[in-house]
Amino acid sequence: MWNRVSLTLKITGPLIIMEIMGLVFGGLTLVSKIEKARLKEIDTLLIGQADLIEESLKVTHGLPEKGAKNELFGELDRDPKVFFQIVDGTGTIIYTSKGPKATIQTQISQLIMERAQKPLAPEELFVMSFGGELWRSIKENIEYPDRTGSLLKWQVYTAVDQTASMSELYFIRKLIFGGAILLAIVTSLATAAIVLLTTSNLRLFAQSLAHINPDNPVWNFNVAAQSAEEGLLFTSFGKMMGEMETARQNQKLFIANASHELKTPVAGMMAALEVLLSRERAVADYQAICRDLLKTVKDMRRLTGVLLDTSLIEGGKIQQCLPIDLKTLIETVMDRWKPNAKAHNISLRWQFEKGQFTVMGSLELVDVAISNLLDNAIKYSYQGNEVELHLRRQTDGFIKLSIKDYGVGMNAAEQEKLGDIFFRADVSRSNKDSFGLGFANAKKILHSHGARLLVNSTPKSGTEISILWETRVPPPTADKTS
Amino acid sequence: MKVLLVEDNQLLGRSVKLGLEELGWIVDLASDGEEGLYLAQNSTYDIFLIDRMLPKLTGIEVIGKMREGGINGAAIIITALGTTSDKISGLEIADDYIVKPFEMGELVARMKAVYRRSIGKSNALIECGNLGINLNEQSVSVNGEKLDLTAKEFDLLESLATRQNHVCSRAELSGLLYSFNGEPESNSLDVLLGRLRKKLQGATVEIVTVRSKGFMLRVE
Repeated sequence: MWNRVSLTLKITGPLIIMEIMGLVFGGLTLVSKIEKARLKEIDTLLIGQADLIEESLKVTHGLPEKGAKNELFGELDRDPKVFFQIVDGTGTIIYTSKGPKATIQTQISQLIMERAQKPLAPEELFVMSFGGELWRSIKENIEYPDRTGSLLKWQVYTAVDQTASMSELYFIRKLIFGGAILLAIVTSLATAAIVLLTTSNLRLFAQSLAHINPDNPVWNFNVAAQSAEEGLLFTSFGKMMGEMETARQNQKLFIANASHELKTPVAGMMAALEVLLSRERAVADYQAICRDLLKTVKDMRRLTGVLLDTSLIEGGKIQQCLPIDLKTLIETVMDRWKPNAKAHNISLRWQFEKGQFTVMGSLELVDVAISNLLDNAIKYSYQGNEVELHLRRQTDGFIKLSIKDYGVGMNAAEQEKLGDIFFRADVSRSNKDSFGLGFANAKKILHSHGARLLVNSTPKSGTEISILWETRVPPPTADKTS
Repeated sequence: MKVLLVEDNQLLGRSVKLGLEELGWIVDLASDGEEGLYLAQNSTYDIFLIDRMLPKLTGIEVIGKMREGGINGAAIIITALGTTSDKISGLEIADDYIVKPFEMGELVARMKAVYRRSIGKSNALIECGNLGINLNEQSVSVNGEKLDLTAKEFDLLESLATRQNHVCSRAELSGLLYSFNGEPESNSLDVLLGRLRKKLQGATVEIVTVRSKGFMLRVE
């Protein structure tokens, strides 16, 4: 499920959640701080009012004095924004201020009395809310000596109208939360837009891949990378496409060459037989054409074998990796090729250093590789010459097998193309026994075995092919020659 | 008809050459692109039969260089490459394209068709005055009566008849009548022309000599 979610959503989702969380936390903190400061201000005002009432209070005959005798108390008593109520020790209301409207007085008085039922700490602040009004109140206990000398224990409830201040506070709270939500929306949209923009090339890249035709894999993508990562991705993909195209062209070339090599002799045999049977001929004519046909069939059998070798090697896997005794293997290969060398009037000479020459790999494949190289050396030698094989261990520890002929050789351009499937050096093209696969197969086999191939060739002088195997076995001491 | 066959497979080249020669055609065989181009540039041919994948120069390159050099004879590519794209690329430069392996009958039929197209004929019959030349049967008649010609005389008449209103030089005619290595004796063309003129006496055509230029067939 998670794997199917788009990258844009995966990036923007957590970012937006984090942004909202940050804004909510920030908003709450800000609101809390503002509220605290505002309430503190309001409470300071309320306490000041309460203190003022307490100070202005003068008692005569157990009741507060008013009128001209106590002008300040009178002003507070008439202030519509201030309400106070004095309750004696028995809970009886001794005095209620006259400033606010009668309905408000009644409401506040009722709420104060309800509040008075609950135990309240001295100077405890509380809020009263009724009919759209917001009043904040405080209770104070006072002890007051009467003119008669007795000590009065009263409770003074002072309330101040804070409707405007509290409404302002609630408005600021709404404003902060509204602003936070708006900011969250704006930043979320901006985040989504940035992510969409930065992943747009990836979407174009993915769409371009969908249009690649497997039969003709051309990748048309002309979008400039907008980041280092995109650059790396596009360059790497382009490089991979290039390598795939090269492999495809090589495969195409291989098929074209294989078709040519297989279809041409079939066409030759068909044409020869049709011409042969088109009219009566002398026996010698039949024999001559039959000899040609037999040779062609043999060539085709050989080509089929080599193509099977090629497909086996193209598979690229060494099925069995076992120790190979190179001396025994080379002797076996030479025994097999001696009749062929003799038929070409070529003599095989060999020289082995003393000691063990063991490499790891597939005996069957290494046999094919050495056979192909020896076959080439015989094929491209001038008649009457020698082909020499040397097996020795170099001072750097490498085992070296060199196969040297004194034949047609190759120029630099031909050496460069050596190893391409179906490549035949032009001078040797007249040699109809060659398919141009032997060296290519040998090269592939030896490379898959970790061996290196060195070619040293001079036109009309000959070619020396050296195979180098890396080994940790110490060098031998004496030579064995034939 | 004279054919240049360029094919590197020895058996196929020799067999096709023999098959075509037994039809009475003159065939030169080259085994690589360079040799084929050399023959094309140094002799005269009615039709070119060229393998596509050749050593040294590919068949396409040979035809390209021939065309660049003004050699515009009919060319057929023979090849193992039989995909549509291969055929399209081949037909962009050649007149026909035959995929290996092929049957000799089909090859010959296509060569004749391409040759007819190259000389602007829709059928195998060339008529000059009261003379009728059947390219398929390789026969000639005057007023419907068959004329007895040797193979070389027929080739000479065909060469002149397919190039009416064109003066054929002595070298061009020799190139068309003899294989590259079969150099004729110095007066053999004159002897051949003399014999053919004699046999065409009842026809309303005559072989005229254009001084210092060559020969042409003229309808009287």
